[in-house]
Amino acid sequence: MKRIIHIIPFCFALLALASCEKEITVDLPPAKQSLVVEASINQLFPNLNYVFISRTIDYFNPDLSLNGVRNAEVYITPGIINGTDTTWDAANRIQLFDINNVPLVDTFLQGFSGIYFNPLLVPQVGVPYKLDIDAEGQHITGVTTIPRVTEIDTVFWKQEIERNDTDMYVTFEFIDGPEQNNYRLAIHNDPNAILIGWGAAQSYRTFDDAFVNNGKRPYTFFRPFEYGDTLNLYLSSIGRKEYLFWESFTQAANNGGPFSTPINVKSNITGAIGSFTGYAVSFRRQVLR
Amino acid sequence: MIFGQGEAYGVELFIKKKAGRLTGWVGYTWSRALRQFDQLNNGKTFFFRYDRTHDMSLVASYQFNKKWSGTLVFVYGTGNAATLPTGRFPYRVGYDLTRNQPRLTFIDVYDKINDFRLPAYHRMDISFTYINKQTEKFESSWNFSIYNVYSRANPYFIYFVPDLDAQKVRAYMVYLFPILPSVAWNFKF
Repeated sequence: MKRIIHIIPFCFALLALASCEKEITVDLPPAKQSLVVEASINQLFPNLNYVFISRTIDYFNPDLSLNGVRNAEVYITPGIINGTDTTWDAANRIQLFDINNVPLVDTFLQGFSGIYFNPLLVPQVGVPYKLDIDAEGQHITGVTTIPRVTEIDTVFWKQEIERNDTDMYVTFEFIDGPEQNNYRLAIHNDPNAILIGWGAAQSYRTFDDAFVNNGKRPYTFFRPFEYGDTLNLYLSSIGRKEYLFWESFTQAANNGGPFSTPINVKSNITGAIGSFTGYAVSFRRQVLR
Repeated sequence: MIFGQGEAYGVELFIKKKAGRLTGWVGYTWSRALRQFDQLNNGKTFFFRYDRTHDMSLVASYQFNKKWSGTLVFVYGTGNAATLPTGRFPYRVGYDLTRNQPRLTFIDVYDKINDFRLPAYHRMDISFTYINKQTEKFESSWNFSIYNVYSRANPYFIYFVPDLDAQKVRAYMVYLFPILPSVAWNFKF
């Protein structure tokens, strides 16, 4: 009996220390390869008007590089609205070129493949734009409009000086119009205000005015910044389809863990996965002192 | 909110032996649980997550003598259906000037819903019971059992980890309850 009493704790220790995890082989058919397009235009920053074309890659054997598609023909055409109809102004169609072949462009995403750009593209607010891409035998098309700009009204912050605390709690306000609006906010905490691609920002929010509409709207960051930080806020109004894409993108990007639900992004282009987004950008730079 | 249709059907077989030293039963079920939504899976019918095509249970008890008896249990079930990513793509491209490196986000792509089956669930348990001396006021027994005799690693969930050095994504399965011996003393008064 004494021997059993000694063996029992040993068995429990063995069970507690035993690994309950092992590597397995997942035998799935290879995914059908699709083209992926990230197309962005805005009225304020010419360096954020670009089209990035890539491909999906096999999940279990991925080359984790950019995988850009070269030799594509990329055009953006402005539209003319006549009542409920839109005609495309072919005379003002602009071709975007591989970033590595565009002269006078130095640091902007140089070295990346699959990025198309033209510094002569100057999109206007309220104008619809059509995207046409011919790549690898496929035609991709999409339409977007840069909505009315919603300006950042005020930025203010709170610091608990008496506690000698360097946490800066920031709120900014903007005036939301009576129409249905959709927003995408990029936050770039860096003395260098220039975003080299929308992906350079540190964090993003996508939201709409479903619950609070038509009026001054405060937006508070619950996580504090530090005293002396340089906060660059890019508040963009975007269209509804673009909003649905970026909302699904946010869900897909944060979709981790073993109990996650599979999410596919809601593309607003045809012929590929991805989006063509017109950003009506309001920019504010604030040093938090 | 989206609406769709669900369908479930199957057959069950059950055999039981009640007399003699050896008693027990065997049950087997073949079933299908399907779902169809116009907006999902390109409108095609797919397996419900908890579809269990084959399900079998076997229970056998043997009375060795008045004091000792033994029981053997075996269960088997088809693994759960799961949706796994089939691809991924880089998106939200940018360049981090501070760190001097590209910044982008990889997004997973899912193809068919519940197209992958986790490994089947099966295990065997055995137990032996020894009945102590019984009186009118008190009776007790000892039970010695082993859960999951052959320590089958039955899947609880699987997850993926990118291995940047090997340029591949590794899949890991987490399982619960390997072989579990136990001793119990039961009493009634």
